[in-house]
Amino acid sequence: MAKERHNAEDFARPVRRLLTAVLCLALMAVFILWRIDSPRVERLRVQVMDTLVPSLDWAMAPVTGLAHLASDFRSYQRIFDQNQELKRELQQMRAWREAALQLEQENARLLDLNNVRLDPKFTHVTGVVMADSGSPFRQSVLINVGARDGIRDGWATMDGLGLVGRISGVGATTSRVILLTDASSRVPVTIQPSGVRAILAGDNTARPLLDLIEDVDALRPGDRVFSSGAGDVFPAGLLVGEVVQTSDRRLRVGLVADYERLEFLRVIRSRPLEPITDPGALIAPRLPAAALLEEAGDG
Amino acid sequence: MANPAVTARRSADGGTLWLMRGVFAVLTLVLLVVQLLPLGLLPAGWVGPDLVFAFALVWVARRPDFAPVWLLAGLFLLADLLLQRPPGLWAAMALLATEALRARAQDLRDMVFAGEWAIVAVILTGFTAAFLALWSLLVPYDIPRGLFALQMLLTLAAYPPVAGASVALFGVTKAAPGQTDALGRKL
Repeated sequence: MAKERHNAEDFARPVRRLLTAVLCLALMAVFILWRIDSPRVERLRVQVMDTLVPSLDWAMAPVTGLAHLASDFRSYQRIFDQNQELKRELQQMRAWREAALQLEQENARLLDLNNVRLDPKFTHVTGVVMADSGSPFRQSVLINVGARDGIRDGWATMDGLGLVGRISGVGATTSRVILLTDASSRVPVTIQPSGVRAILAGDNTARPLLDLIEDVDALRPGDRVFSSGAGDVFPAGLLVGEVVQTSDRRLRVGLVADYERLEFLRVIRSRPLEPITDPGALIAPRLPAAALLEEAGDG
Repeated sequence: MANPAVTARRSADGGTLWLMRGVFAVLTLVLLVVQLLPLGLLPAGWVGPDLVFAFALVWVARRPDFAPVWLLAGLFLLADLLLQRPPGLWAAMALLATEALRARAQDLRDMVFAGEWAIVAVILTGFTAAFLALWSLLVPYDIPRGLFALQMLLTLAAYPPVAGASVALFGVTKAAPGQTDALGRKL
């Protein structure tokens, strides 16, 4: 009986096998194309996300809202404890606020004395988180601002408080933010008050690792970590978090950005420093074009 | 000669076939979108089962005609693109895995569930080993191997509930002996 069946399907089977082989080869070809020309295929990926995800927004928004509602509801159960805790914290905060106000006044006075002008280049675009990477192995989010809003690859993103990640992949209306926790994230940081430089290396855990530390002995848990301008990756001085030491005595960074609940992200517009390319043109008289060419040839 | 009444009752006509294919595609898309929801953004340190893969395996084992190879290829590639994986690698490997299962779909019909599950276990083990090997050869960045193996283990663990859900929600049961398709061919 089984034999009979196989005979009856003899004509379909090779066709199906051929189709499978062709499809597998096509998929592998896409993969190999990605290995050879990754930017082009990644652009395709961004386009797919850009067309698909915003059109699914109507479906995703209520579900996300419901899930947040559920987690909020869970937090109501602990509301009494929280209330007590908040009152205690508020008491402490009042003291801190007083200190902060005094410091602010002092700071303003000192700035005024020194005639310091603060860096005016930090303006930002705010975007809403639409989707995450969907995979436990990559840490990234998709936000709803893109090339249309002037977003460029490589810009820093923050939540209200601290650094969250960097833009990597910009579609017309969406862009992807690689979070600091992603295994491929590497960000140069400075640790205050010691001023030690290090690299913040994501490793798919909640607390990224401090790597390539200049001077390990100078660091204490609790030191504050800021982005450093090194390598023109990010503008300097964005707050990242504070140093923590884990039980295996490695130094990690507890991030101040609230990763549990990223809803709005600020993309920091940063302009690259203008490079100085023409030495000598300041003092020397204008040379005729021919002489310039000759000089270039000599050099 | 089959009993015509039985044949008529059981034959999946063309409409049903395409409907179920559509149901499978929509189901996969819904699973993908659910994964994309920005709920917890902290790295979890644990993984859930790969439900897209689990459903594909169940449907291919139970009703290969509802999840044809071209549909699987398209959906898998879309999953790769949406979930930030290297496009094509997982899709090609998963396609091979489901095709390996499809080739055995005939024998699965007469088997008890434990046998079906065992075959899926063997296929998933091979898939995991081959995928990790290919990944380390071809992809420039690392994947957490332990976590990936755990995910595949959980996918295997999710197979029975996913099979149950497929039967309960979508009526995806194994084709009965003598059941025919729209053209009267045996399934």
